[in-house]
Amino acid sequence: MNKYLSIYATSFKQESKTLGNSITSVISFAVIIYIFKQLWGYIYGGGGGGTLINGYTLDMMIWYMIMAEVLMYALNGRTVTRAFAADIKSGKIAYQLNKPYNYYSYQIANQSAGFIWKLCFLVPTGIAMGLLLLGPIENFSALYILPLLTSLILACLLLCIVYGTVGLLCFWIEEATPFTWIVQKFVMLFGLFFPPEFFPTWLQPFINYSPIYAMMSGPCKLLASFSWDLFYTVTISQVAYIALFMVIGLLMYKFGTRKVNVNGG
Amino acid sequence: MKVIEVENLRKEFVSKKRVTKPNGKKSIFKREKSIKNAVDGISFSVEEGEALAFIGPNGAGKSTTIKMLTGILYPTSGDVKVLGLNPSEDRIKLSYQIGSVFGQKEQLWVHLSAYENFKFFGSIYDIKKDVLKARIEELANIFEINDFMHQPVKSLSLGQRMKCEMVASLLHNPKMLFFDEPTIGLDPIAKETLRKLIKKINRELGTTIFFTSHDVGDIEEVCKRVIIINDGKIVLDDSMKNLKYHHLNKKIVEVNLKKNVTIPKKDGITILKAKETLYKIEVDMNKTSMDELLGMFKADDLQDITISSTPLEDIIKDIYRGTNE
Repeated sequence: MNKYLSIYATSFKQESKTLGNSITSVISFAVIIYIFKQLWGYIYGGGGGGTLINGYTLDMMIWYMIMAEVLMYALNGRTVTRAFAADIKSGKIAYQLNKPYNYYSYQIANQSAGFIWKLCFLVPTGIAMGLLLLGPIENFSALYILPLLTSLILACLLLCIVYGTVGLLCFWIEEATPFTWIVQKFVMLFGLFFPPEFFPTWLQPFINYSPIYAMMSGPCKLLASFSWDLFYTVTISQVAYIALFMVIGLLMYKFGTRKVNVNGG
Repeated sequence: MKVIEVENLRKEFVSKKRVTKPNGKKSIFKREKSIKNAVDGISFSVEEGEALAFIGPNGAGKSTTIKMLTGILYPTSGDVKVLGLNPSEDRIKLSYQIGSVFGQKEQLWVHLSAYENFKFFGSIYDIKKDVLKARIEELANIFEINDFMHQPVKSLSLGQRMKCEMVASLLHNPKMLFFDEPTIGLDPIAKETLRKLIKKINRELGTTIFFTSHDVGDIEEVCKRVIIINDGKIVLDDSMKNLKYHHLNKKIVEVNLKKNVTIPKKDGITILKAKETLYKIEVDMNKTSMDELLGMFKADDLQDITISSTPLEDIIKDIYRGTNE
């Protein structure tokens, strides 16, 4: 475990040297939040005025969007998958595979550092944007901060593991970006743009029991309208899916290393 | 004691291509398998403390072999034992005992300094802090990297970076070091420095060296034994002394003179090409010396001179010719 903490710490240090990239990303994030506020304001008819759509007020909807965008900006699926593809295509995998660690876990630790670094910028910006555009969340308590952060970090970790598992396909096909694209679009469609309540009733249970709920809709709903019951449900599904995808990933890695072809032999 | 034992090792790479129909068009669905034997039934062994050169032209199977020896690639068939372990089955166990340097590929984190990288590798190899500190100090002195090891890796030259890569690979005191074309892309001075360092590691630290290259110059200095591989098969396994005597005895000299001169006939000197003031001459070092050739020209007449070894491809042709005869 110490090794992976060391990988995480070194990767975090490396990320911290690319401050410029993080600032650019934060600016784009702030612009997107503003655009969504305008769009949803229009749908809700101006300031919202207490209008409810599928149980969501305008403020709840925007806080939901803020959390969803934090997650999308913190963890770009393509970056994770490309890290695997780049190592295989460049032949750098030769260095990674003969080190005393598990390469799949190495990449998860490495990529996790990237999203934690981004969260350091995105979370304060998201809160600032929300407070500026909407004011404080109704009935919010300081006791909710820790569970919300836990849920956010678990969601990022799950996203990282899911995209990492997709990235392992590179051992067979060298380029797994199309698969990442499909997963990303599912996450966006069923998690980012709308809460599960906006979908037909027959579809809602599928979304609520899917990994998309654990990595996107669940934590977003928590920020929009916190409840301890919801927190427990979301955390259990996050932990279960993290364990499931880790097992799948480790198995894929075990078989994938037999298939790997490294450039130049 | 044998540290590497390879028996009938093979690696196939399978690729599929679309079948061409009788009308010349390519089929959409039908694919035919094409199998390339990158390594084709090779056998050899390496003794502890040896410096072995594993050379061959591009695509000969050098890198594939090194990657099977380090556990990166799974062999199609055959047996491999490195330090008594099966590389593909005991990869992590083996990784504590071996180091590797791959030319033009980096293992260092580029935004961090080499020193920060060394600390990272220390924790990966479970090296205690005080041991690591002493080891970094020792290697930094051997490799003369004290002046730049605290700079970000991205700001280092390729030669400096390769030195740091080598230090990173030696931190855990490996019993064996695998070099896969480490001098590729380096300028002559950096190449020379790196060769000397590899020699030093072998002589002073007693580390077994397995060195692949397609540059004959790389191995002349470093290795005492050489294996030449071509098309996945071993074509020569001999001492460097014998290789030098039989195959590396010829040098190619290209001279550009200020005026035409007549080169006297001499045993061991063959003029391959003469065009105006440009001469391409082959010198057989077993029969004559470079001094004797250069003595034929006045220093004032020389405009430019290049001395090179016989290309590896020619040596291989030479070996095949010898075998056939």
